[in-house]
Amino acid sequence: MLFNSPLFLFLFFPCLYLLYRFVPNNCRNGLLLAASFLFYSWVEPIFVFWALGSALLDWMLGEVISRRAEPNIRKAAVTLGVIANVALLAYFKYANFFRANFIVALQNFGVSPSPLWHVALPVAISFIVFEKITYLVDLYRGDCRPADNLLTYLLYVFYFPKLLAGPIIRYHDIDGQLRRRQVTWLDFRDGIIRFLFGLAKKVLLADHIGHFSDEIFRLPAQQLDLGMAWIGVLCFTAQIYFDFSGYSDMAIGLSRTFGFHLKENFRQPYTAINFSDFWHRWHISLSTWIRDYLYIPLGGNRHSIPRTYFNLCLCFFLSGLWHGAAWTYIIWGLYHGTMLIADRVFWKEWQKHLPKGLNVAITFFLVVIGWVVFRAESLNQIGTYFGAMFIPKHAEPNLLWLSPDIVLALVVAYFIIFLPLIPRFDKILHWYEGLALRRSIELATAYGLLLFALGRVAATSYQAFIYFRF
Amino acid sequence: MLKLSEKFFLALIVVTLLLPAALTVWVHCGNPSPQFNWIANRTLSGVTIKKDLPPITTTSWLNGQLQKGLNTLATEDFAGRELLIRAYNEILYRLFDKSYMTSEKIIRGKHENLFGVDYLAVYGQYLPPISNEEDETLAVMMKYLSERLKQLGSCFVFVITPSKATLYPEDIPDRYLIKLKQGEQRPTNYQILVPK
Repeated sequence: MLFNSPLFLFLFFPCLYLLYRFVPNNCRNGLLLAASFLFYSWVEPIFVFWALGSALLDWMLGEVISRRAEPNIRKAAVTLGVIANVALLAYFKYANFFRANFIVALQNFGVSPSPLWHVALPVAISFIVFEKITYLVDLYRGDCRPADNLLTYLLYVFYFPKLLAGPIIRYHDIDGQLRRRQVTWLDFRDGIIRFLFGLAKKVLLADHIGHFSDEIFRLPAQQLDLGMAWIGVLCFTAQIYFDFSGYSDMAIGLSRTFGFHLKENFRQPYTAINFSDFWHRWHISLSTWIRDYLYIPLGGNRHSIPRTYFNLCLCFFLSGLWHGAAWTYIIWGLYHGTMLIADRVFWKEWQKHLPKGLNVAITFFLVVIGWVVFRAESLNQIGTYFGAMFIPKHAEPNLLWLSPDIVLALVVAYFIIFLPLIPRFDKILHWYEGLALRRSIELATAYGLLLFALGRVAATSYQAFIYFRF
Repeated sequence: MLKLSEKFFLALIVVTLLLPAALTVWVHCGNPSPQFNWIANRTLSGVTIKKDLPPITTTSWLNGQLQKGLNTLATEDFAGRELLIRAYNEILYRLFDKSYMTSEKIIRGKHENLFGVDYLAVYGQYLPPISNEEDETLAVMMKYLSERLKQLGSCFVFVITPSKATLYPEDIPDRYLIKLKQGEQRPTNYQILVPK
């Protein structure tokens, strides 16, 4: 069940919210947990039991960590919990990848093993595992109190708005809200506005542009020329931002309607002035997770310079692997790790002599290059695509056409992306935030966007009729 | 405290989200009169594939078929869906000369003529012609069919109809004719099949 599906928009959310408003306060967590289980088991009817079993184990280990004073026992409990979670992730997400590479390696030695098994990748496993690890480590470090009861803990793990694609929430950030929160109409208003803007970002921009980007990336090499290759990657650059930040907006907005205040996950990432800045703006919940639970425990920058660079590379190698079990993601992660090292070695000093606009342009260009690697289906395609982007050639004609609606969607998308760079943007924003009718304007805009988005949702799923418009 | 205008727009949003489910129940249980066809999804004609809900069992839930069936049902059968489709497509058509159906499979040509993209791809020689293997397989199949039908006392007639693109090449948008105009002439499927 996706947030942009009619089932969610017309049935799941309205019914849940009505119930949520009418049940007593002390039943609200239970209701949200039941809804979250229904939501997750809708997409993962089998894996939900694995996730539940794993969460119960973590809960028990959490109890040991919080109740026992002996350092050895606490350490053993947190180690066991982390290993169990990583093993779960390794099996479900990486078993196929490791097996495929192992088979290729064996084939190089003339051995041809028969395929053994295929593990289906459960939706949201990476997010669930990271949050479960967070709870155990925070308890061990003393950064948070244990959950009041099992129900509260399970709601933290399975809370449906952030379940499928984040933001990754740390237990101590939501602990207080899980215990007690206010549910107000003001929060409902702000949440709905945020949710509908996120829906519009996803449905009207990301999906619209993404369809064209997919077609370009599917073109055979001989039909891909320089212009089309750049349009393709610029489409993907906009698509991934509006898709992901749209989802985050929807998650944050939905949570707000239920009285939760989640942290921001994106902050105008394409206006970053270098890669360090980019990772302070892009998927913030992941980058801070990696910093706090991987980079700093590895030693961060407290040791020698080579060790710091190694830590950075390792973190981004793992970040790449977290995004997906493929060499393309690993290379993408290492690319970002290398760029962060370059920031530290020389770029942050050099860039002081350049105007901000140029720094943004350079960073944006390098980020776009990274997206080619991220989007490519294989290592071969990376080479082919870069070849098309940088070496002009006479390509065969193809059927793709940059139609006016896609041009408009791209213009709107990049206008939104680079809006914060316009002169005196802060003053304009400040003036706008002071408007008495600000929320009414936003609600009216959100309503218009909702109608458009619903039209597209209905039209794109309309497959049963043939020639119905004639 | 919410302002009056905020309450108004919030109410509109809530009603818009609640209405389809309520109306769907009404359409299915209340048997509304024909004047409500625009709500009951009865205004668009054409061929539909009726999709039945899978049986409600533990097995169908665990293998995901039940969820898939419910999803499809909700997606394709909510009240007012055709109205939304009409409105959305009308906007795309008026503003962008576009015809939208899942992906853009039908395009608007010159003189308001509509074309299927797949036929244009064949006509414009963007798709390769039928391969020798496919050609042979097809010939064998037709020969078999012809003989079998002859045994049964029927006559097998194989008709190759020209596509709309072949009949109205002057209405095809120029961008679909680039390859053809470059002079890369090759035999059409018709020319390949007929001698067989």
